[in-house]
Amino acid sequence: MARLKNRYLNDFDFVLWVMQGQGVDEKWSLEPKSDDFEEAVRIVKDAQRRRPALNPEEKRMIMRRVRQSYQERHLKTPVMQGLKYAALSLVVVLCTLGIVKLMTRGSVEETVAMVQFVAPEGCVSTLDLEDGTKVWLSGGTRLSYPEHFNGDDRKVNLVGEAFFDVARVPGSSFMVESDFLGVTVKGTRFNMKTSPKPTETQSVLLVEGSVEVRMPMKEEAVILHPSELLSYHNSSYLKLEVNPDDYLGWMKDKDNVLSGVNTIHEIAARLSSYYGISVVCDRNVENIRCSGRLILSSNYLETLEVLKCVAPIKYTDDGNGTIHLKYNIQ
Amino acid sequence: MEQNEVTNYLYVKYVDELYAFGLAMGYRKDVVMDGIHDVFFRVLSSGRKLEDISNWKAYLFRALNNRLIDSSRLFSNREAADLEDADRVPVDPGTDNDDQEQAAAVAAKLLKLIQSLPYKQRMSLYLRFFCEMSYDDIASVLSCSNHAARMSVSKGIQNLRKYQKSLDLWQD
Repeated sequence: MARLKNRYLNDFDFVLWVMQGQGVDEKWSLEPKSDDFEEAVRIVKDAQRRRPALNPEEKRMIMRRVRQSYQERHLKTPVMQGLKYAALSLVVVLCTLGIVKLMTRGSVEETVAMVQFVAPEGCVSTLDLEDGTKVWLSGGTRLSYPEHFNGDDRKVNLVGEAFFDVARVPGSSFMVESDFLGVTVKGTRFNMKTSPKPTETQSVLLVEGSVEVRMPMKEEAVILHPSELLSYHNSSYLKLEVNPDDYLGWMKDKDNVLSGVNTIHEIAARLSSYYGISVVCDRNVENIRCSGRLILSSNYLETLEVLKCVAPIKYTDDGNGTIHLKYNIQ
Repeated sequence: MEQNEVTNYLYVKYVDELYAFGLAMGYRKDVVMDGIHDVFFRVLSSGRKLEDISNWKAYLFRALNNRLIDSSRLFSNREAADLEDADRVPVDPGTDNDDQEQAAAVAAKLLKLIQSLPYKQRMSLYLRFFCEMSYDDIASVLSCSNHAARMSVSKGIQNLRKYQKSLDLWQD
């Protein structure tokens, strides 16, 4: 290391002596107070005050982050969380889609504002429309409907899955449109599952009454009878007679989310009661703990697939409505 | 004083010293900045008034040190060399350039030596030399007795003398 100009600074003992506050009982206190000596004392004292510093922008940034963290923490008070929850689960994100022409009567054009309802993820939302129609929406589903129903047709637009209990209004039919299917009804109860993706299956399930389903590239509408399911996939459709309850699991229970830490045993019990099936598990898996949120989807097989991904289990279905959960060695 | 003002006051007063302390203790810059954030977040959230804590300086150093130990992401030896190039607080305008250079050289040499001490000695010597803390304050930062703080400083100085010979940083 290069020699410093001031000879005192090259003496480690001297530096330590100044650093320690120039005690009187050491040899340096007896040293003649030359200019060099005074200068060296001053330089060591300067050295003590020298330190790396944050630049002003960095300093401001830290303080900004402190305030941000503080505000975030305060937003998380129970009251605010309650409000958030209420805002999410009770209603909705309502937004006006825009002004669309709903109907034209003679030369008079009326425009009606459309309202879009977005159901929060993970729970079933219900919606009462102006005409008395009741709609159950599964999580993430979007339903657009006019602020007011005018005239003959009641037209709504659906993306996702919803169950409609349509109020009978004489002389007015209710129409549900989606990217692929169009359903016209008079007064009925039906379930409709749609997706904007052409690769996914779209379906309409009728519970009561009758509906007319229109599909792209098909001239004639298909009429469904109660307990009939129409599923549309890749430009072709299939009509099946089904047990509607198998498809309406999603709206049975609003509390379709399993959260917190649960053992496989607890999850099996919950699945049994939720789906009305029997789920049993082996001894060696029943105490495996899973944490997080498990959304109980409408089909129990889907839920089991999800469970299979998070826990080391596999399942077998004996065909008599009993699901057996076993340890998966992988 | 509002809690906001208390926090601001303490921040402006001590942030530079805390930052330099964190670096000198061998932590990375971003780790030290995070630590400072955590400490002042706690001050702001705790609602402690100025008069609640008799010695804020010691409190803040201790809190920061605890945070840093928790994150315990120490410099590797190579990174530690950057310390010498770190920006320095400008010294009094009165001193000329030559003096400043010499002061910087002395500070750099000392910091380098201090880096080679064990953690506790490094900490007590840094607080003593560069933060001009009393032994009582050092004791409260280290959570030990006044006597133990003195011992730590004096052992640190003994070690410094030993190291400086072997490292040949100072020529006698």
